[in-house]
Amino acid sequence: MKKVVLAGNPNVGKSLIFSRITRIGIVTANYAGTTVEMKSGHVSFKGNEYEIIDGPGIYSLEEFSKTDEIAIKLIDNADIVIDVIDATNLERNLNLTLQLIEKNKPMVVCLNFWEETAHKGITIDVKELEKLLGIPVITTSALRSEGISELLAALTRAETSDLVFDSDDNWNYIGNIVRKVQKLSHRHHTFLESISDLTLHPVWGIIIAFFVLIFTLIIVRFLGESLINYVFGPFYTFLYNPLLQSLVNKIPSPIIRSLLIGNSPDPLQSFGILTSSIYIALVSVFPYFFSFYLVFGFLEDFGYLPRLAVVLDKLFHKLGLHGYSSIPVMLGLGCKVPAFMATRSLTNKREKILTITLIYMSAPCLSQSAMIVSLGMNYGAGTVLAIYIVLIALALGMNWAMNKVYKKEDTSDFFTEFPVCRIPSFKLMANKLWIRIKEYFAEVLPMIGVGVLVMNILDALHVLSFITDVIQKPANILLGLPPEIAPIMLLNFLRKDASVALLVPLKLTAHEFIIACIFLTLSTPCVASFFALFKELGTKTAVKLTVLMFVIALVSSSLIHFIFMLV
Amino acid sequence: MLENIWKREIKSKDINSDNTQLDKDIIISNHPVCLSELECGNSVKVIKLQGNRVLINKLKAMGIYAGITIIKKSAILAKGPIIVEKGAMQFALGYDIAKNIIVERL
Repeated sequence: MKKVVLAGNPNVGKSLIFSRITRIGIVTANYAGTTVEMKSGHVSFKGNEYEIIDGPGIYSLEEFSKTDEIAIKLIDNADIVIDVIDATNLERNLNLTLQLIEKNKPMVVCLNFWEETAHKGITIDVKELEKLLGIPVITTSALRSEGISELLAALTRAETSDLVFDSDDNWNYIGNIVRKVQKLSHRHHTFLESISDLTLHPVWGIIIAFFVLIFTLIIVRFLGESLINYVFGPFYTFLYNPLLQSLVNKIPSPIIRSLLIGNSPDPLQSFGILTSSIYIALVSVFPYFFSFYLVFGFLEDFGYLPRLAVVLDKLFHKLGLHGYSSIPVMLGLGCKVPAFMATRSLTNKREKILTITLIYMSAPCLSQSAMIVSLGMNYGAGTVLAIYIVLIALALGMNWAMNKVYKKEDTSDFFTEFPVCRIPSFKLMANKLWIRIKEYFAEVLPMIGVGVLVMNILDALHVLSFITDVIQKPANILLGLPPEIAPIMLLNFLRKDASVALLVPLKLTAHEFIIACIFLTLSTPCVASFFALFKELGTKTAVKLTVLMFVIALVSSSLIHFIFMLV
Repeated sequence: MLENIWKREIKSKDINSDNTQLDKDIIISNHPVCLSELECGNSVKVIKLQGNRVLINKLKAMGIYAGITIIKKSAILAKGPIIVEKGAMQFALGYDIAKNIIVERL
């Protein structure tokens, strides 16, 4: 089986082509650096078996970051290279093509975004380009699934180009090729281009960024709440729960019965596997998850995120970082795991550690936030606000301290290419949302289920009461929290949203709620983000950071407890 | 301000001695200015990239090198990134990079 590697500049549509060929659903977006890992899949086409490999995008075969290293290694191990080119930006893309040609591997060139060339006034003589490069050139539109089978058919014709050129003078050579094959005709500024200009305007850019962030929060909250009140809440109360109760009541064993549905009619207090875990996953968290990724997916595909990064660059400079870090930090408002993974495209370790710390500390993940907000509102908006202010203050303080420790050693400054603004494809957005939803349920449901089960078992074995005995004294003295907080602290490692939800039966005061939320947010990462942290930072740094976070959580929540006692 | 850029230019000549041809061009041209100082909306020719070698290579890989024509589209307030257009491509350069890109008005 031949290894076929998709290579090309960032944001030329490699991942969508990969997905079209292999029919494997992956999350794609309209900005550079969406793919940070390699993905592989199989396809058999007219009797030929191929392993198709997708990797991060690169501008040249020089290594500038970790993702470049991954991409270059993949190309070195390839049997056939498909060089994916953005047909609307031929000149820049051909630089990599020439470098790939020098690798002497069988190649096929794929001119993607072909559908956009016409209304951009670009005509490319494909036959002439094929002749000049000495390798097959195929036109595709990954968005419309056009040209994919032609691309696969061309793999048998993949050739090693015998092109000879002076590699120090690439750009001159490319200029000559482009002049021969491409014609540009004049056209007017489109509406989307005007919007794009506005998002980058010195004044309007900031105003737009402000409104986009505010609207995102409003939509997520409004849509999330509506889904809870009108869809998932009623579904649980009027359909799922009655059905479940009548089914479970047929089970003769009372032990199994209580394991499945618990002992309380309140789904947040019952601790049943089929009540508490389903309620938390589906009713408390999922509506916010859905709303966030709906809005975020739109912004991603529109191409707005890199524009926001530019506007926020100055702000991130104050934090010793660059605008690059803003996309991982925004992703972190949703879930820490993809956010940690997205830091891989940052060029140096210092920025990576600083960004990860910021993601970790500045805000809880979306599902935990949802719980904090919905429960905290019972105490009033001031309580919720206090939690977030403390978290942000701690994150900024930590950032300041880390900037003192990790001195800025190289000034690799900010630069990024902007994707073209596009009206997102509804189908693509729905697809992406669907992939994220599937991942959510595949990961979250079993996790909460296991968490609830473990709690039940620990409870039955009296382990819980033992741990509770050990922790309750220090928890009470330092944090002023009741002994029942102990098992919740343990569960916190499994699901952070669930742990906040479990504060309900403790009937905490507003002050205690603030302390508990801050401690639960900072003390430990959840299992999934814990492993992501290890993967990104290496064991040593990850352990250091985790321990440091625990200490910060303990010290800051104790401090707040003492302040509350004095007031 | 221009004098300052000029002096910096002469100093950097000693460091990057591999670009002698380009340095001659600069001496001939009358108004070299750094991209950060340029007013928005101007179409300019890039004369020289200075500073960090790795960064210059990175920019070159994206098609930003001495000799090309670019348009300065916008500049984010308070020494924020500079937005530049080259053909179909738009990109943002940090203020410190833009300071090291010497251009000449067309």
